[in-house]
Amino acid sequence: MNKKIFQKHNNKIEFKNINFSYNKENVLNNINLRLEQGKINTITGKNGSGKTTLINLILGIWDNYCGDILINDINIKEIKRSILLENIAFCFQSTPVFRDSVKKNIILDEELDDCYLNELLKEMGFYEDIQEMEKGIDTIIGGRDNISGGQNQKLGLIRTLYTKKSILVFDEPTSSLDKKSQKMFLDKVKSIKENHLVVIISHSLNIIQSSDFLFEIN
Amino acid sequence: MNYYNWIFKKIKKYKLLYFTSIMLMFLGASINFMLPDTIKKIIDIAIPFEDKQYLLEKIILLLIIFVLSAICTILFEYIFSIIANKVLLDIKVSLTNSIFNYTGLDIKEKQKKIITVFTRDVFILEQILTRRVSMILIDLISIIVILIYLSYSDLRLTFCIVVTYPILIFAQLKFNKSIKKRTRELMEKHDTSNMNIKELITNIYEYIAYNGKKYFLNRYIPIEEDIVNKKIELNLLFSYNAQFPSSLSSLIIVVILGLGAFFVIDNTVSMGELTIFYIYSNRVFVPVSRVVLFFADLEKTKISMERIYSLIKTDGENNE
Repeated sequence: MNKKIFQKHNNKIEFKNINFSYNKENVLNNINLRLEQGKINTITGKNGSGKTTLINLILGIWDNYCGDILINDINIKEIKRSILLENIAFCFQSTPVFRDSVKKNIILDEELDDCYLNELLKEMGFYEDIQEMEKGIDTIIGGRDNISGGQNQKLGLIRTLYTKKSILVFDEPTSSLDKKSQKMFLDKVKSIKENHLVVIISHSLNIIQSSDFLFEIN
Repeated sequence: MNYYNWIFKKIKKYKLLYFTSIMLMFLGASINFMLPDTIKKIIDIAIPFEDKQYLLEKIILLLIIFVLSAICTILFEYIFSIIANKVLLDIKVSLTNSIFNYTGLDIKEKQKKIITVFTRDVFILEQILTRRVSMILIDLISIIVILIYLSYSDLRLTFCIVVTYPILIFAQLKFNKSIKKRTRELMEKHDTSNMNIKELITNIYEYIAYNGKKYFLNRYIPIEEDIVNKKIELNLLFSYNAQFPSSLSSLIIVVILGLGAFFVIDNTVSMGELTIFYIYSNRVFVPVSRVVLFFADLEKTKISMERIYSLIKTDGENNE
């Protein structure tokens, strides 16, 4: 039953009266928010205002919050964590790079679709970078010294986009990207927003200006 | 400076404690030297002449020997443990100091080894330094003392024991080569496995969010399976290694009993001497087996020492 929760179109996430604290101090105070597919949903706010925390709640790892989080009208506390994770892809502020090839770092345990992978690499401007690597896409990376901050961020974006999951969440996705790469990312997001629920946490003016829905956490 | 010099420099600081422990070891050995002679006198004099007073004196002497020997061993092991643990702490401090002097290239090359060195290699060194080395030193002294005594009693029977030692040493050298090769392979596998664990611990939240269990296990399990296979191979090798001296020892005991019985019949060896040979040929082989096994473990320790030293050896090592 759980598997039918996520749809091809019209996915939505609703946060109703959300209060949350890691320790004693409240991080989120009475948050009400509705995120919908077909829009670029952007959450912005000061550092430490709880933007990332709010989005992390939908992973199902933290469940000690007050209020309700509904995905397509179903409370996420009733959804198995494995189902949530099969349908929600996260792009973190800092992408962990595993000691593995570039290819495996992107696809992880997903099935390999060479055409789609190459398409994404080109769209995100990572293809040329890979061609310059010693063994191309099979080059082993890992640690901090193999790829630059911008490449690391592109890797994270491609990793998230490659999953084709229903809900795509990007946390500060353009903080290390140059203007050209930022534009490439925004173009890509605009092209997929009809088929995926896209949520972006960002301070970037470019992203804020391109948003269809903006929510500011104070 | 190679790692032998480096470890020698660490140990040299505790020369007074070493001197005390070696003195205790020799004291213990001297006391033990009296043991077989006392047993021989009980069997050859006290029992045939039914001299109860003499028997009582010898039994009290035996008890005193046992107590003094135990006190010497405990004190020796205590002092040795102090030295070994202090040396280990020095090594750990040196390791930590060296890490702070790493260049970018050092970090790139050595990062993979660090966890295994701090957990496994230091532990292997700890095991051997704190317990095994002291036991082996006691064993070596015991073997020497016993062999000197036995050769005074009967050179022919002593020769039967001594003649097996080259066979043991030759076999050990063969085993050591295989053990060293397999140990090195195993430690390298541990390095990779530990890196995977480190990655998981550092990125546990991200791994969960990526639904990355399968991805992690696909990388982790083959290495762990490889480690298990290599450990089984190594344990089998250690079993062969342990079995060989004990089989040889059983064979020698049969030879000594058979040959010794003929000598008793010919009146060239007393019953007391044969008893001493029977008891002590066992007591010579058990420590010899332990020494032989120790040399196998020493191969593991040498690899751990090399690995520890490879992390310490940096351009900044003199800043320690």
